[in-house]
Amino acid sequence: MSMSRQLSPQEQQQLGVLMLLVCLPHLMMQTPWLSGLLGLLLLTYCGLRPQWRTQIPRHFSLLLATLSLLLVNQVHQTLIGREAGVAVLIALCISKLYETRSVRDAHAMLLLAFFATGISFLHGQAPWQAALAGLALVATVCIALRLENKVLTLGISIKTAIKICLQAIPLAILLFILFPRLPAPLWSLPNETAARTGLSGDKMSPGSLNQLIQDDRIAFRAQFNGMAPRQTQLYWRGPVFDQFDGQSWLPATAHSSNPPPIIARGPQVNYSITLEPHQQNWLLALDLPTQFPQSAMLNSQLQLIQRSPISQRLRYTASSTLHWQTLGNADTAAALQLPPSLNPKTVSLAQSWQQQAPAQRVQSGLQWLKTQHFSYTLTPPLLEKKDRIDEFLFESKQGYCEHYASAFAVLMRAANVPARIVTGYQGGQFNPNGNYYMIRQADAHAWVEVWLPEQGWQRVDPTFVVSPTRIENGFENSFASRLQNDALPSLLSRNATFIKAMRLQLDAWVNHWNQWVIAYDSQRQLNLLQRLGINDFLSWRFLLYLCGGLLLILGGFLVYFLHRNPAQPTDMASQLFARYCKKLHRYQLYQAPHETASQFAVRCQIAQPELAASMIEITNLYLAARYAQDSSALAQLKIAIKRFA
Amino acid sequence: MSPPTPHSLLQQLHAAEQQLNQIIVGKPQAIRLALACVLAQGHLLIEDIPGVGKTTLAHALAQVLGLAFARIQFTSDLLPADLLGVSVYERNEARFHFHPGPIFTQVLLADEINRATAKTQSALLEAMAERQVTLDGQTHSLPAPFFVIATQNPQQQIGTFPLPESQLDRFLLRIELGYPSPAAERALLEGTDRQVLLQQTSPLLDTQHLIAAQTAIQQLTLSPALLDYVQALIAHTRRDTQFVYGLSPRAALGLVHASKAWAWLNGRNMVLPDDVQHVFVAVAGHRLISKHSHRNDFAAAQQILTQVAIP
Repeated sequence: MSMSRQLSPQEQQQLGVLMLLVCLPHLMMQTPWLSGLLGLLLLTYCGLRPQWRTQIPRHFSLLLATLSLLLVNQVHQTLIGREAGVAVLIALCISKLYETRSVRDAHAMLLLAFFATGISFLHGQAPWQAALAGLALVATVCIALRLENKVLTLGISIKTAIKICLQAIPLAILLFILFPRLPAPLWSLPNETAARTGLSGDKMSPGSLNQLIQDDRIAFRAQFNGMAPRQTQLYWRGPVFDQFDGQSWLPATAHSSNPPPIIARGPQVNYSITLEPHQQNWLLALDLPTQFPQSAMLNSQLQLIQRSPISQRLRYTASSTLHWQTLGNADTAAALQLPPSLNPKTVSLAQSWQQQAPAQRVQSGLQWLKTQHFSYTLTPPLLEKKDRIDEFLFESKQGYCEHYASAFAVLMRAANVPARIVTGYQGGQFNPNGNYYMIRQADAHAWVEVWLPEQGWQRVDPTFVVSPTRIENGFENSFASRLQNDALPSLLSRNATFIKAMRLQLDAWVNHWNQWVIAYDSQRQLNLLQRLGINDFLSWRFLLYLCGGLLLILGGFLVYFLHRNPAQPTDMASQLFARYCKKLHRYQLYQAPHETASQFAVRCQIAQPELAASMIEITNLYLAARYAQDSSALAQLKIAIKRFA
Repeated sequence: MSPPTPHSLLQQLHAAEQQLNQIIVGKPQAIRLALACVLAQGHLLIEDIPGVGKTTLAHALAQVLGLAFARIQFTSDLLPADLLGVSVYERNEARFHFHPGPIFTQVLLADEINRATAKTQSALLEAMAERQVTLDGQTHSLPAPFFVIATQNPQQQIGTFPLPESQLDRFLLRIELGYPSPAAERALLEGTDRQVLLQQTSPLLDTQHLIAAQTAIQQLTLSPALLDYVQALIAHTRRDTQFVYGLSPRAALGLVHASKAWAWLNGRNMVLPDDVQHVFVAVAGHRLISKHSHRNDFAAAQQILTQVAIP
């Protein structure tokens, strides 16, 4: 085996920096101290003195690999699976880096860099991750170029690398569209339970929504077909709670699977939702969904759920009716449940309305809230007493949607009106750049549903009574004036109009990415292929499209490279000489870039002795025209080349 | 004497070249480079092992061109005064009188230049650059033309003071002679003794003609296309990461001068990329230092010619 060239210290350092770039997305996803340790190893390598880098003993990387594998096993309790597997890969890459000496090692490192870049999409497929992967790709190609050609300057090699990557795009698009996709991934990606945010379906207790108010991440995006409903009608229905333990609301224990019959009283609204993964099994829909994806079902609480948790971004279309009523009897026992002997003041207040009709009791409750000087605030005093509802209704009188919904539901139950809590999102921010609504975690909301004999379940929003602006204008508009800006997510502060416009545009791009790249799954691929007349991946027609597309792209490049003029000669003499050289291609004679005209002429004479005389004439005329700037020679050259067969 | 025509000058030089080829057998390329170096008014460095004819070449060159010749063997105890001369107090005239050293000649052979100390070397190199000697505040011009041929033994580096890059840069061309081919060696063995040949050699040129030839060469004009090529070559050496430094502007000028001389010697008034390619290694080789070996890399210099496209 021949020895391959040894790397110079600069080349080793470049490889180190490349690995740092490639490993960055992985390190960001690992346990902090594990990624800190691995990152430190990479930085150390890049910062080592050149002569030390070449003197690292061979055994060191073996030791490094063993230790880091033990460490990964310690952290993840396994060496397989997504997180652990990636950690193993990165650890081994770093160990390999430490023993990289020759060009052959460097080639292995480059292949590893490509692989690690591909693997980075296991962490997520957001646009910024794709951008980072693209950057890593360009850097890898750039280093590969520099290894082969030491003369290249950094600028030229970066430019060339970008060009190479751009040239790969047509092929990548073809394969993206046509390469068969699996309905489900071959390997199942484990759900990361650690990062659970957003609305909780488990319980609702004071303060649980308050944390979301500070959170301006997108919960989902919605796009309406046709006119969008007004802001006050945008109640996005999520988890429903009907068990109260005096402190928190819990979901119903027994779900009878069938929803009560529903009568739509208003026009139908059609829309599509792109839901960010929240690791729970409920979907969001405008109150109240009438048509929804087949994988989901409406349960007895009128909550849209599906069997498996939403671990990947989900796009679905649904239809809702904004005015509705249900038939049949409610499970009144559950909807009237209250913890015994708690909140005596509330109970006695509610019982004072017992004589009224149920609908009238609801109005009395709302009227009472309206007249008792309640105020809406995101920083309410802490409720600490045993009778929390009493404390809220009669003492602190400050709170936000959660407090009002909770207190009002208890008030209604005490007044013998079946009631329950519905959580979800209210409103949303319209993005004119993409014509869709962005609903953020900060838009989380809670409201009450009461059951009235003739009408069935009806939505009542006590927060609307206390703070109508919260609902009418959306969260952002009602609060920016009242709160200090720093208490709100930066995007919601009104004075930052420029930043707001930029963020809106940015989100529109993210939305496009989600709709066109991420959402392109096996189902969409099949739909597209069926439109092209392909029903099966194993058909001749599919093969024809795939191979035809490949050939078309490769052929396009071939034509481009064959007909491309490497550098357009600027002066007349070289243009004429280039024409002469083109004529010589017929005899399989090609001038090398570094070959002088005389050297080329000698070669040509040997190959085509019968043309020697005219070749010598043309060469001499060209030299005189070009290097002695002889204008008469130029004129003769023109004639001689025209004559040349 | 009437001014010589360019054509007769060229003929004289070709005759001189022919004469040189009879003395140094089988090295026409090296001889033409040496002649081009004289004509471009540069100094020549010959780097080779002993006994391949370095001294003979220098001597023959002086003889054929009709120039005064002096030779100094450089040793570690050679002092600048041994080279430049001394001022001696003359009792009769009651003043100092300058006794010029061997450097006051037209062709100076500095044999094994790297054996002398840096002090002596720099005295020589200063004289080469300025073409004058300054001693005791008095400036003495050197004869014109003044031309130094230095030799260097590349292999025995023990006890030598290698010339630093800045001083190597002062030599326009650097050539190697190398072993003669078997046929040339046979001719050498069969022929007359070189010393006898040298003594028989008569000058074919005089100083005036040589200066006329030098002037004619200086006046050659270069086409923009050729200058583009020279600049591309120079730029390439500066970009190429395998060399410590790229070529200096002085080297670029040297390349232009040597190419002109080469073109003129080949009987042309236009300078072609071919001329540049012929002299490039001799001009650039000793100025480029490899990053890996920290020595001159002539193979790499040769390779540059295949890496740079002719514009």
